[in-house]
Amino acid sequence: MMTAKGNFFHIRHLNKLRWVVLSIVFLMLLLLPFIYLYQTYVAAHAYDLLPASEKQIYNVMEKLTSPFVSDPENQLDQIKGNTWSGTLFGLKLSDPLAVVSQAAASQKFYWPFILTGLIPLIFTLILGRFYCGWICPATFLYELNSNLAVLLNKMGIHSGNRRFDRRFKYLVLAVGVTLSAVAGAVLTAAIYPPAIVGREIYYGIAQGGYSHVVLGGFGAGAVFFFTTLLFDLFVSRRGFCRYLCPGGALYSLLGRYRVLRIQRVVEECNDCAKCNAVCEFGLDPLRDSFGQECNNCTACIAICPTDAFEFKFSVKDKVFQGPGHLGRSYRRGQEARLMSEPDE
Amino acid sequence: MRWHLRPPGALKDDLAFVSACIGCGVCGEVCPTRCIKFYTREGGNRINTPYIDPSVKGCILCGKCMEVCPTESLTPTPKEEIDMGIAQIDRSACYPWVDQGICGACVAVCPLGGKAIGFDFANFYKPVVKEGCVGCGQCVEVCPHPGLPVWIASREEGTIARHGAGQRRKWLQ
Repeated sequence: MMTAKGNFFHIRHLNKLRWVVLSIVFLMLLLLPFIYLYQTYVAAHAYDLLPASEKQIYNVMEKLTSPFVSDPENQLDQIKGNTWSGTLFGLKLSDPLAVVSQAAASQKFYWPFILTGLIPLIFTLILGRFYCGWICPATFLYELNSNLAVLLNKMGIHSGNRRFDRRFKYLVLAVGVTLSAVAGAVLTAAIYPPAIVGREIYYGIAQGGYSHVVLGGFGAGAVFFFTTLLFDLFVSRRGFCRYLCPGGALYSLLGRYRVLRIQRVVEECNDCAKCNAVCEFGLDPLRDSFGQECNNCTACIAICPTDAFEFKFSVKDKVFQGPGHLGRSYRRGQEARLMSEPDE
Repeated sequence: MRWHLRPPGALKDDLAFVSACIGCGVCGEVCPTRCIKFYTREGGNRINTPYIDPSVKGCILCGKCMEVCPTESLTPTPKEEIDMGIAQIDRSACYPWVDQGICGACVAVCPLGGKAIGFDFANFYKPVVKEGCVGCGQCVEVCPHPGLPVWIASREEGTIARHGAGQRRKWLQ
């Protein structure tokens, strides 16, 4: 695979690509409500009646979209929605958690909807929890939040780094789906950060509550999400994703036997443990322990000074391969072995 | 609880609607009139499900929301078979019916033309709702009377308000 040094397509640049993808997803979530507003203005044929602020939205969006569409009112419907569920050039895609919770809530299988979760499901079976690292709009904010924690630590404000049991999120998933079934409503949407982020951005920009005011403000979900940010900052780093997120739990379960996974090349490893420090999910790449939680975010690859990680097609992690061959403890072990063995 | 309608093509049983809707908000995001709103906290377990308040903005029956909905909660339905309710007119309040002037705004705005609402024979400007009404609520939006003598009721309640405001209050709950 892509491991040759000096190559432009070096595997360690994947982390940058990931940030590009995360940023695009988040910016699209910000842009789509404005595009929607623009579409409604176009549909109303009432540019002259708009107040100045809305005229500004109209002008900016017209400038942004006019190279691509000639009929904004209808053609801009090609990309709609958010990561919870949306339509992309006629293809409807939904979060597998939405599919599971909706099936539980309505207690029947509505196949057209279940099929919208198929493509994300296939990707999850291959790439594991990749959604959490590569697409989730909440991850974009949570990782920035982690960086903020580093900044705060430098300023002398200590962020929390407690550890809990990772299996707790599976309980959240089970309880969430069960409660959805009991209540007959998709309750997991209320505690699932990407759904909240997508929804609240849309509500905040284009809904304006009851009063038909543009830029009307956020709802209850924003408060919940802000609380999770504080939780991550002061209690446990990336705590919500690690220990509480029901979607993360579902993706972890689906990605347990993912086909493509990161593995350590023991010959190249020097035991510096930077990978463990950088891992947002608190995993242990240094000891070959990725497990079902790994989201293939490639942060460990990007930080590794000796390029000791590679992508491998395998349904299992390697068992602990021992200390890295470039590290001190391996060298000492070798020396000891040489000393103890009779001359060869 | 506010007076609300579900968007066109919604499941008849509101509990089934709530359990089928995942709250993705895409129906609202394609609505060209911005008539689709979403329940927030005050909606209880209806939170994040869509509604239309015809007194603010009625539905224009463009059908985009039904096309885009990923679930069965909004199923594509032909325009004439949509059933969001039926318009109901309070003849003790409507301006022409109480001889307080001429109006006809509701008839003029109706997207279904003569099938849904028309004038009572030989009684100019006195609006009468017909069976073809699908309950889009545009007449409610346009009605100039502050008390809204026209509103959308469920189909079995008929097209003439019998108990005036009391009946409406029942519908509000």
